[in-house]
Amino acid sequence: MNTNTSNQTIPQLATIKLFAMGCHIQISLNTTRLSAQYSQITIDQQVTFLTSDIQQRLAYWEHIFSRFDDTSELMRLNSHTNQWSEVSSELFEVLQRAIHFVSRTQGLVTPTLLKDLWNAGYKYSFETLPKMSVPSLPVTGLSALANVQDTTSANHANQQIGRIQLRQLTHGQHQVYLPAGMALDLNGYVKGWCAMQLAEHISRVHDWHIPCLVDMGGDIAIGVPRDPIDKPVTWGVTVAKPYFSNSEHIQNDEDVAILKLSSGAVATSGQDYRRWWHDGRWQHHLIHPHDSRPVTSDVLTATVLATDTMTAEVYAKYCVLLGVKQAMAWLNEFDIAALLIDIDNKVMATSAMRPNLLAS
Amino acid sequence: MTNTKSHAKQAIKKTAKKPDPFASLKSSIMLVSIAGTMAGWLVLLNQEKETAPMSTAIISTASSESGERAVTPTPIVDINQLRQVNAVAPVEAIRVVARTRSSQ
Repeated sequence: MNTNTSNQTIPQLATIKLFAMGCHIQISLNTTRLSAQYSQITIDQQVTFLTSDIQQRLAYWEHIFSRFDDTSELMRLNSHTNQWSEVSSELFEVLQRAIHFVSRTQGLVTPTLLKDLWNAGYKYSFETLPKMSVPSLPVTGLSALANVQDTTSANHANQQIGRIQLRQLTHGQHQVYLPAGMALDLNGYVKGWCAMQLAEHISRVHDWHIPCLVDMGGDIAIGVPRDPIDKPVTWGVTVAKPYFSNSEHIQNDEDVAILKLSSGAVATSGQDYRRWWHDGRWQHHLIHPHDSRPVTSDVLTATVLATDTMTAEVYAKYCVLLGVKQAMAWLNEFDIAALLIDIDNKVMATSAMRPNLLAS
Repeated sequence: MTNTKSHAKQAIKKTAKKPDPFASLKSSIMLVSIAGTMAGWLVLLNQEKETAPMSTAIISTASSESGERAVTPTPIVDINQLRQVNAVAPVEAIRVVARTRSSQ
């Protein structure tokens, strides 16, 4: 959507669309300044080179972090517990940050829940999971998830986080020690981390220092050149209405708000989209560590703004795990810009979010 | 009537016969005057452009009951800011390029 008023100049954009790491990726490059310096052919060539470079980076990261590929670095680490394992600097950094967030989210957002996800049926890529209920079994929806938490089992992953050890050797090697029985899932962190890496590369490392927006399946990072020649670019981002589908209708293109962003990041987490049928009931990917099951929450989706996408992603997930009342209290206490949608589709924005709301 | 007409004709003839010896001087003075006025304006305009913004602060005074006079300076207005009032810089349009939603 372009806002049309007098005295406005329309920014020129180039768009890169890819599918990698199990999500749709769209990168928007603001080429307004470049158009005054280079021909369109030169710009197109650079965008082609950049696309190829980004594809290589994504393939490299996917081979590090994928939990659906037994040969990935993460899965090799998971299969070598109770010993020191050498890891890449990328895995080391993401794991270090993930551990940092455990204490900041009261232990609710933790990377140690892979086995619980497997138990909930999320062992293979989401596209392959059953999305329709089996007719002979009772039909359940989100409300039925309350039943699955009746059996609470002590989850020691939160306590075990302190048993993970990381060390960097003098000659630059990174090593991780995972205690026996632990398995890591970094999916809740990696998309945000990748979005920030790409945004920083395009806007600060690439020769042209292009202002950009990187959208990794809904987790978004803004790339701002370090020494901007022009004023910062303002980007419009819509907040999607929670995903809804049944046998008759699939809704996937409505929005509840439009945000304006000049820097930082935004991410949304929710129990609306990544849902599948397993063990006689609907499951979703947001596991509550206290009972090792998909959480029952009155927050359907949470959208959070932060300085980086990984933080936004973690805090959004934290809000879903907390529930509306606690999440709004926590967000307001720390003056965090956020927008929650509850299971009745009621939209709630914190006061810190208002300056970023273009329309709602 | 006849005499009056002939006198008038004679006066015209005299005028036509004797051109004003100061005519060129007068026109020169006129040209110099016009050029001087224009130059003066240009100098003034040029000075107005180069000088630093003038303080348009007005010091107002108010009498108190005791007879003392309090000096209250009003805020200084930069004349350059006033000039910019009508010069609205073009605003870049905001384009919606992405949607945030549960990871897809």
